Amino acid sequence: MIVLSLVAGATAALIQTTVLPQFFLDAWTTPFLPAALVATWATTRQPIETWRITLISALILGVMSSERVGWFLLALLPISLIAVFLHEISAQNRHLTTQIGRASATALTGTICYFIILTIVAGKGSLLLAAGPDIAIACLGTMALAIIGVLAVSPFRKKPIGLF
Amino acid sequence: MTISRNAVWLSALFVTALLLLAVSLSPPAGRAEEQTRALLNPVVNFLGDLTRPIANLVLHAGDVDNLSSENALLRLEVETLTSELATLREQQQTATAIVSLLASAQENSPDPIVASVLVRDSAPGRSEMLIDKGAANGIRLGQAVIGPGGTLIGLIIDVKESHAWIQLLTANKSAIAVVAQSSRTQGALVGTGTTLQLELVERGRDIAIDDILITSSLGGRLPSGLLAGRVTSVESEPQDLFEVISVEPLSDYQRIEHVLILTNFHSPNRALEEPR
Repeated sequence: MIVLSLVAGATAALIQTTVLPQFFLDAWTTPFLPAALVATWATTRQPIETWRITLISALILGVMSSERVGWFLLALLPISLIAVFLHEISAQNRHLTTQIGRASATALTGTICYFIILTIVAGKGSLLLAAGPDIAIACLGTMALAIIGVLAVSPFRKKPIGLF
Repeated sequence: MTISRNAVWLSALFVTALLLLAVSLSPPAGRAEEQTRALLNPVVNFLGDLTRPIANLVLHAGDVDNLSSENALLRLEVETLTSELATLREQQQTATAIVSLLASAQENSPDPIVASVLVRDSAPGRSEMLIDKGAANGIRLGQAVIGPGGTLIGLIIDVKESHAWIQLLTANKSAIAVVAQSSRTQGALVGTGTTLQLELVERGRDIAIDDILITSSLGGRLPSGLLAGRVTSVESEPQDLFEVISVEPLSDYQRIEHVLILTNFHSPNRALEEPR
C-alpha cells in the first residue's frame, strides 16, 4: 500500500502540473487534485497513510514550479492534518454520507489552506480577496473530485460487521 | 497510538519542509531539482501531448459558429491586407537596402532560439513558464521572449543548465518601457498578476483604445519595436495625475506551446546579467 500511495500521489501531482492546466486556463480556478486524493484516501482508508502522499505530491509540485519545494510541503500539510482531525472526531461513523461530508470538508479546507499559504509566500496576499470567487470554483471542483473518489471506491470497501 | 503516529508524521514533515526551505537556495539543491525535473520531463511531455488534443476539443466544442464567423472576417481582412502588401513591398525595397547597411555595422550575433514550454507554473499567483532550453543553449538572464504572432510575452528571469524560467508580462513584478505605436506616447507596461496596465502616462496625453504598444529602447533592457499589447480602456478622474489605462496582451499566454528567445540583443545594463 505504501508504493500504491506514493504512485497515486506522484500521479496526482503530475496531472496537476500537466493535464489540468490545459483544461483550466486560469490557475486560480484549477481544482487541486492532490487535496482531492488525500481527502478520498483518508476517508476510504487510514488518514495516516496520506502523509506520504502529501510528501511526494509536494516534492513533484515544487520541482515543477519556480516556488520552493518547502513551501509546497508546508502548504500541503494542513490537508492531511485536517483529514486526521476529521477522522478522529467521526471515526465511529462509517455511513456513506458521513464519509462524503468528511471528504468534502477535507478537500474544501485543505484547498483553501493551500491557496492562502502559497499566495502569501509568493508575496501576493493582496490578490486573495479579488481571487476569492475563482478560489471558490477551485475548491468546489476539488470537493467534487473528492466526492467522486469516495463514491467510486466505496463499493469495493469491506462492509462493517455488526448487528445493525 | 494513531494520534501519536500522526504527530510524528506531522513533525517530521514540518521539519523536512523547513530543511528544504533552508537548503533550497544552495547550488546542490538547485542541481538536484534540475535533475529531478529532467527525469520527469518525458512523463510531462507525454501527458501534455496526450491530453492537448482532448483539451482543445473540449474547450472549443461549442465555438464552431463563432469560429466560422471569425474565419469569414479573417478572410476579408486577408484580402485587405493583400492589397496593402503590394504597397509595402515597394517600400520594402528601400528598407532592405538600409537594413543591409546597418547589419554590416553590427557584430555577428547568434540566431534566436526556439524553445518548448514544458509547464506553466501551477502555483497560485505565479505568472511564469518553464522552457526546455537553458544556459547550455545560450539562454541568459533578461533576454526577451517572443510568443505567437511575434509579440513579446516576457523575459527570462532564471536560467539553469538545461531549463529556464520565463516571467510573463502579466506577472506582478513585471515592468517594461513601452511606447504607443501611433502617437509615440511613452509609458511603463506593468503586470497586475492577471492582466496588464499602462502606467506613468500623464492625463491628456494622446492615447486611445486599440492603440498598439511596442517596446521602447528606454532603459536598455529590450530591443525597441517589439509588439507588447493593445489598449483596451483609458480612464481618468479630474484629480488624477495619470491616466488609468488597461492593456490586453496580443497573444493568449495560456495557450503558448513554443517561444522564441532573442539572444542577439545585448543589454547595456550589466546589472541584469547578475544571477537572481
